[in-house]
Amino acid sequence: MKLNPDITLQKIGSMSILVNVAGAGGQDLTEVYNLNDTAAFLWEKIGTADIDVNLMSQWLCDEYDVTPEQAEKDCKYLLGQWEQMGLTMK
Amino acid sequence: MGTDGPDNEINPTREAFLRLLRSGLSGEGLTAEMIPELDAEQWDEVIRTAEKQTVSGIVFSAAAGLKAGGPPLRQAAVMAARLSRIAIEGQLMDRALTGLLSLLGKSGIVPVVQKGQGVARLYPTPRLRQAGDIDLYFKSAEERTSAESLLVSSGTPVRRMPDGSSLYTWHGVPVEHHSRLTDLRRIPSWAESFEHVVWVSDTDSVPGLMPSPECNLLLLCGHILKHTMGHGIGLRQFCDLAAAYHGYYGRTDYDKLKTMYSMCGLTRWHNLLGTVLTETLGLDRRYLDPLGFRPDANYKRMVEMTFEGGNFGLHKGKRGKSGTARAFFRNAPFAMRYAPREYISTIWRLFIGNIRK
Repeated sequence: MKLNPDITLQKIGSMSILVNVAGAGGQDLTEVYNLNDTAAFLWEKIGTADIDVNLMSQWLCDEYDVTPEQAEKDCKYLLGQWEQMGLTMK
Repeated sequence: MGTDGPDNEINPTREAFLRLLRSGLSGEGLTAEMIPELDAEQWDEVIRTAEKQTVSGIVFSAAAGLKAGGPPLRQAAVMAARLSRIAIEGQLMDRALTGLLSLLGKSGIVPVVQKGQGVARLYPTPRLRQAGDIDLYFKSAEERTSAESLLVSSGTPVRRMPDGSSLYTWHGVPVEHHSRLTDLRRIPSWAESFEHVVWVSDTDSVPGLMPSPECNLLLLCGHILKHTMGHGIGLRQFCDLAAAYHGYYGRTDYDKLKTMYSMCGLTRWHNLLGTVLTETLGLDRRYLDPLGFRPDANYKRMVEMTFEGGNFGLHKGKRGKSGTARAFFRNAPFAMRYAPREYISTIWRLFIGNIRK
């Protein structure tokens, strides 16, 4: 699984905004998502690589004060949300 | 600083817009204290102005750099979407230009890249300079004919236009071949000669010529003049000129440029444009002083005309042949004051062109 290549992350001020640049030409604001800092951090770290929950958990543990179990749980929850919103692709 | 409205009251929206534009042009960051605090409606107005003036990439990227005091979520989302689209369009444009120059180069044809693509590389962040099309000029009529034959034979229809230019679409990007290097009518032939064009290559493999700094600055001044005399001009063209003065600093033969402005009757015009650049876009005077720059106190009229007109005056209603003639006559007092020779020459050509039809 990878991040959807049609979705790009743009930082505007303190906000991290995902935009779908395909189809509606990036103008369809129903396809704009505002990520929190942790999600934006993970999105940038993944980039174009394959999504690996273990690696994501490791990044979270390295960056934030969180246990490996909690990190894995959070990453799985986040990926589930991203998948539902079409932000990832198989 | 050019941020006052006609009633001389400070307009915070315009002030914020101009501060963002200056920041984007110079590449220097902004902090929240440096721009007026705006509400959502005022941010909407900043977005509308940036779109109208086709400087969205520059303005929105500056807003993106604000750590505090930036736009609310909805306006930020609009800016994010637009910046993403501009990045994609820029990549398409670069690929199209590289492909076109490569195709022509294989046949030994090396055109001059004018205007947008030719000037974008002078910006601190070239990809933020939005370009609508590719403008090319060839060193001889024969070379241009060869280029167009090559395009037609490779399946690209090329349309010849009444003004002597040619239009076609190359990989989704409009391309225009120009019969002249500048838009100026009263220009000494030596100023357009190929002695004044230098080699520039973006990559090792794709050849491309660029006008020399002096020629490009003259070209940009002439381009603004042509559109100011007609339907109007937008801020993007002023940004191009500011980027060129800044980008060419240390590489410009100022004596030669001064002579070129003088011989084309554009000294007063250059001083007016220079004042707009220093007072409104924040260009440092040191980029103009070697030209004997003398500020023009009437620059605010030019600023207002630019804000009113937008990108080539496309936001000013009906055009067409009669609209063009009306625009030229409406602008007569202004044009006669700053570039009388160019204006008379242009009007004469319009007149001759109309009786020949």
